[in-house]
Amino acid sequence: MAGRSLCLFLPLTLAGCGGGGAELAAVKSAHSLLAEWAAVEGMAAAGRVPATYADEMRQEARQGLASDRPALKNRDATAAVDAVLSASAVSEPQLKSAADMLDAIEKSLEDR
Amino acid sequence: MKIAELSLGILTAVGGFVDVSELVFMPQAGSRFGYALVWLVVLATIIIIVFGEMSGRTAAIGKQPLFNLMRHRLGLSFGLIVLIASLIANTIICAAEIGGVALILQLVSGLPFRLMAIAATLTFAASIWLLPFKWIERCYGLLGLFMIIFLVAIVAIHPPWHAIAGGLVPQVPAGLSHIDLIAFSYFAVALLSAVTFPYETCFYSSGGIEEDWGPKDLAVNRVTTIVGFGLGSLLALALMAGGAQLFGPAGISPEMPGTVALLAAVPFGKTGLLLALAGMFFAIAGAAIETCLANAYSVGQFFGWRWGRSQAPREAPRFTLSWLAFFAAALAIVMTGAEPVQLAEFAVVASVLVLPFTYLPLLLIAGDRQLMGEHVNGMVSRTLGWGFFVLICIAALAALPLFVLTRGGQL
Repeated sequence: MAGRSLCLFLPLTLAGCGGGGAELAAVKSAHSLLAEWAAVEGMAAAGRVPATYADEMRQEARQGLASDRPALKNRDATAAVDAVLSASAVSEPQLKSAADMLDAIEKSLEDR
Repeated sequence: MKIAELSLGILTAVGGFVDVSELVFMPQAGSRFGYALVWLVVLATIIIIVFGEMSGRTAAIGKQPLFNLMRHRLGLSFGLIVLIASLIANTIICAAEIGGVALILQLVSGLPFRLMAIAATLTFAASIWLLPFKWIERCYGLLGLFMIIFLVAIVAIHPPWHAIAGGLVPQVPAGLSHIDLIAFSYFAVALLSAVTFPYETCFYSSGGIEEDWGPKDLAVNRVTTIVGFGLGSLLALALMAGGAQLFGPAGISPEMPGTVALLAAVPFGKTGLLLALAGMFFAIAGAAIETCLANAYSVGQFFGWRWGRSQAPREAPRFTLSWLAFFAAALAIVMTGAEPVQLAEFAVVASVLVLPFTYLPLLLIAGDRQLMGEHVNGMVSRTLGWGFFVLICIAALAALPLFVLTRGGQL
């Protein structure tokens, strides 16, 4: 009986975690990546982290955002991420503002 | 001499306590739930102390390696299933550790990730081949003490100590949404798994047999597990507190392992960051070696081969080939481009599923008066052991559904 319940539960769970869950997961990830990148830019501007570290973190953040991008459906979210990805250099305030926007979108998706 | 040996053992246990999964999950848990999971880290530490002590005692008195016990107590067929599951879980953990080390090397050098992964794996293999067992454990464990920078950093940023102390009370934060409640449960299971990885007891007890422990070593075993693991958990708690203090308010739920080093850069700048990266490197590297050796120990013990690093590689050829093959398998996983953070997420789930089957034979043998004599489990060990075993079974049952529901902790 317990085994049968588990067999039913898992596919239902998987189904339940489909589209909406994927979008929320991507928004959460992009939000954190933007905030992490902003923190790195802030520390780099203050000379508190080595240049190589900052460069590698920027690159990693870009890769992470690029991988989250296809799952983003909200127009504001895609615009914020696209703006960051298309710029050759991004400042801490720009990144913070993009992170704040993703934060608001994340909260609205969670409230649904 | 005895005190020096004991101190070294304790420091090694402290430096080796944290691995890539704790580096991923502790700051994330702190960022998301503040100090509400402090109690769980303390509970998980008591669990690993109880089972670590038990595994050391069975090694010293029963001279029984863990996977030999497993075959005899669970039967050949079931034992083989557990062995395979355990090998898969450990190989994923090993891959996550190699990936973590490669990322740190990349952050410091700017060289390509895959090249760093190959270099790291070759270095680990050379360490096992060239260094005596005691020094493999001690080199990486002691150098992992650079992780103490996280503890110093958290003191320097003046966290709310009363809030941390409040986290010692078992709790579920009030007002969590449905999604957050599921995520909280997932993090509880993940942290429990990360602190009590099954390879730890396998490696620890196999090390005891390698070093020919006997009844005279029981006191050292007890003090090392209690003090070493206890102090080690402070490093894990510092990561959680750092996440709560610095990452949560900034909206960061570390997606990149390199972000964790910022916890030390905030108060101490470049020096703090480099010390943090050094500590992370050695702690994760030590764990990579331990997981790989734990796999080779498991196979050797299960099939009754000659095993152990106290023997020259040629004297135990199948054991030697095993750990080389497991390193190769873990490296192959890393070379596919799998993210270390994702691998760590898979690893905690895979490990918690195996955990009950690793601890059950240990409980049975440590409670066997015929084999253990006067060193059989006492009232406290028996009660705690079986109580924790039930808890671990519940966590194992919940792990997979929670992993799926949270999309691997992404929600």
